[in-house]
Amino acid sequence: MKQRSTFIVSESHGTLPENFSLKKDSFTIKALPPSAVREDRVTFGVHELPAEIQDVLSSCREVHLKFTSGNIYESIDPYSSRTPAGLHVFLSPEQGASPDSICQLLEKAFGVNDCRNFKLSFIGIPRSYQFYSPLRSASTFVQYLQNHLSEKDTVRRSEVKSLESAEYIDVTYNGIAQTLVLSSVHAPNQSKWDGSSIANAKTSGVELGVLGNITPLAEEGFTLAGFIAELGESDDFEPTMFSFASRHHRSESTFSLATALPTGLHPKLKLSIHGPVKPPSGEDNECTLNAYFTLPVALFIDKYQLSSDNQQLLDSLSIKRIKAISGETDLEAPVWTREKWGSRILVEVDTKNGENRIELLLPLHLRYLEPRYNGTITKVDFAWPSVFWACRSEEWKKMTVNPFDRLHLGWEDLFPEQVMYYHLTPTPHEGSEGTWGSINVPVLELENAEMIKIGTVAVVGLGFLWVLFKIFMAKFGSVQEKKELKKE
Amino acid sequence: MPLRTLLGASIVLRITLLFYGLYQDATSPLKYTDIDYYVFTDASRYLLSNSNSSTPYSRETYRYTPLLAWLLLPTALSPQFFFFSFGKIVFAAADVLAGWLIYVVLTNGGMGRRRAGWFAGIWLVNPMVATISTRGSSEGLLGVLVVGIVWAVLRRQVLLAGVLMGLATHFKIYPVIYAPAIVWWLESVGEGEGKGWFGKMVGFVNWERVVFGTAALGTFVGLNVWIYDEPFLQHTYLHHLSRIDHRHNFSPYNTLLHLTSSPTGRSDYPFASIPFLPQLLLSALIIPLAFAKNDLPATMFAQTFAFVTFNKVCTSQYFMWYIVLLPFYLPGSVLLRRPWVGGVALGLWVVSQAAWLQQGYELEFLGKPTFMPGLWAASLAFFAVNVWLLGVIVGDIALRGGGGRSKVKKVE
Repeated sequence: MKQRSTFIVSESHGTLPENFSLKKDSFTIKALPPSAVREDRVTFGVHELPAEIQDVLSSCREVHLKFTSGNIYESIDPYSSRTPAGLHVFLSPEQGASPDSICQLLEKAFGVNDCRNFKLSFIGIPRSYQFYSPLRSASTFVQYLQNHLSEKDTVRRSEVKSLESAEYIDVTYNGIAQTLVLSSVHAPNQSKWDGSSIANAKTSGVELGVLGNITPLAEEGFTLAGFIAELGESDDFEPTMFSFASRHHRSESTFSLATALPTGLHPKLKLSIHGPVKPPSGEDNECTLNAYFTLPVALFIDKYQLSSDNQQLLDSLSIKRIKAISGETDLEAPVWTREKWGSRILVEVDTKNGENRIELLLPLHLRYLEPRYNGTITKVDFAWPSVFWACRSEEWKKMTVNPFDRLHLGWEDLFPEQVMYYHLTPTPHEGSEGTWGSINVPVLELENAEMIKIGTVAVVGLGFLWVLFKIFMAKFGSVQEKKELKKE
Repeated sequence: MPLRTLLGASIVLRITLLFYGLYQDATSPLKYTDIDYYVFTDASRYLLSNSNSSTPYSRETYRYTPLLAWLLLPTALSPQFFFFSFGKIVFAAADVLAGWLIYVVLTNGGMGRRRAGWFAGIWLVNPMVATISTRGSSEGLLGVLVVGIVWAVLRRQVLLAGVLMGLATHFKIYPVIYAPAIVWWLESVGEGEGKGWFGKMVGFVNWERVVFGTAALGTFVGLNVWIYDEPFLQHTYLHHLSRIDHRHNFSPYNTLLHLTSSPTGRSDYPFASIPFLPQLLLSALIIPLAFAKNDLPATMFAQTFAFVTFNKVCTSQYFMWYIVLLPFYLPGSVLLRRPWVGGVALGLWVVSQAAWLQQGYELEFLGKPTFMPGLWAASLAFFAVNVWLLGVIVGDIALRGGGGRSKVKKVE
């Protein structure tokens, strides 16, 4: 097991060594500016993991989990990438293997209960399979991890506990390296680290870095300066400065998502983009503005309605084109006949209609939900999209050597490799719940079940008998009556 | 109304709507063209594409015979602005042809030209009919096939009638209900007099029935074998047996099926198959046997009305199925003889439909939970109106003709 903890501070005084104390086996924070971002990255060898995890991983080549809480936060480079809120799982099985117990593990570790089994629940995307659940909290995961720690291990227990307040948690398994990396990022102002310490357990090495962004030495990259230390190796801070090309950057623009009211059975998502709507990298114009959605199965888009044949409609919605849809796209089936979690959609935003503000409308449709007890309205939750500029870059080969690189966010297979991303920041609007949205959906109340059955059968039955009676009377009714009618 | 004026008016109406549709499609995000028309034309495009694996069924929700996609092949040609509307023109032309055939059947039956014109006008200058076909819905094709069957049978062109019957059934399964009525109607002179039951059975098998039956079955089976193919059977026929039809529509069964098709409302009673029983008993057995010999075209109208009323799914396009036959029932019917009956019938039909539409609007566009009781009650009320009307209609048809075809004057 290895650990790497990094603090990125924006104020230059934040990286001063006086703010910390470093001993042979521990590192304590005396004072840290609240604007600091913290990343923790713990690497496990597969053999160190519990048997049930090893069991699932043995049939996988790669697994990538991304959990995002949906809290609104300001990002700091190099931690600027964002995924839609909830739990995303990307899994590439070993050839011929089917990791069926993945769903049990997800249920146990994350409390996800909408995963049935690998074949049924995961959707196929190029070179991988994807599952998504609109999970809002990591508390089950924290509980799961704590169950694997001894009661006495208070330091680790509190470190694990802090995952609950992380903005995002990544778990990455690599079958070739036989390692599993658990990383988490805490945004500024979320946690106060003052007084907390990081200790070196006997079995692990701990690397530390306290760094700040300085003016980049190269375009499309970052330069960090500060100090690093390795617990157990020395009790001195080692000043450092390094540069690297980065795949992910911050964009200065912001966005928010709302639903146009009334929603009905054909809700429209209204994506508002504020701030300069122009490609971030000045001279190079090979950029597109994109929104990546992961929609729960109750919602779907009609790819025919939004096809490029319908230019008028797309123009009126500020959609340049729908670049990709995969997953549950059936146009009429109710929720209960669908097995997968939903669909992922990549929308390219039409940027020609605004310099400082764009409003994109994404027309959706609702599937019928199961009839249920207690209420005629139920809520369908969905996550705000990730919104980002994708720009062609010449530096792409160097990006993989970035020690802070982040991959498998869900949409990379829809872009060439030579691309850099500039992520827009979500901003709250009145009544929004972080980056979660929800729609009220009318449902049939099960309390009415008997009435519907009896009432329908009675009315249809009576109607049938009435027609039979009329036919009988018409055929075999009294001749007299017929004659009378005929006279008219 | 003189035929020339009538046809002229119906064509002008359709051309106007066609161009209006082009204008709306080009300028408004809300399309005039029906969604189904995009389905047909996409399917035709798949036929033209070079890939071997692409069939019309590569287009999701294409649930029709491949013949339709073949027929609309020109819609896939470029320039699109010129060819795209080809299908709509075909459908609208089929509409007009159906209307003209209605007129011909009525005048052949001895009705005066003016009067026949008025009744054919119910179809020809009906704005609903013209709109549906110019928006690109294929119901007009069915309309012309069905009226064609009526025309051919009454002209005693039983071979042609049989072929049209097979073709219509191949297009959409429902015209099969007309087969028993036509077979029953095609009786020989003196049939059923004396002879005992065995003699009656042998006497039933006459030349015209054999020709009609063989031609119909031969065409139907021949077409299906010719384009036999798994997706065709699945999408065109089997789909209708297995479909759930849960989304709200006019059918009285709608809420029940919505409930019982879901895992939470599942029922041990086979609610999904029971509806076929009253529907087919009435439309394919009892009504044709009871009334075909009184008045065949009016009986076909009553059958269709019963079929749509008792169907598991019902949208306004289904009304086209019986409106095309309405001119054969309406002349001399109680709805015209006693105008207040006709007025009440029309009023109730419109009002109950409007009530349903209002509830449907609240659900669909405002998101109000009107499943219960609103939509359910409205669909049952609409059903009740239809069933009452059906009772009136069958009572009325019973008074007609007074005998089978053999007693009717031979039609020239």
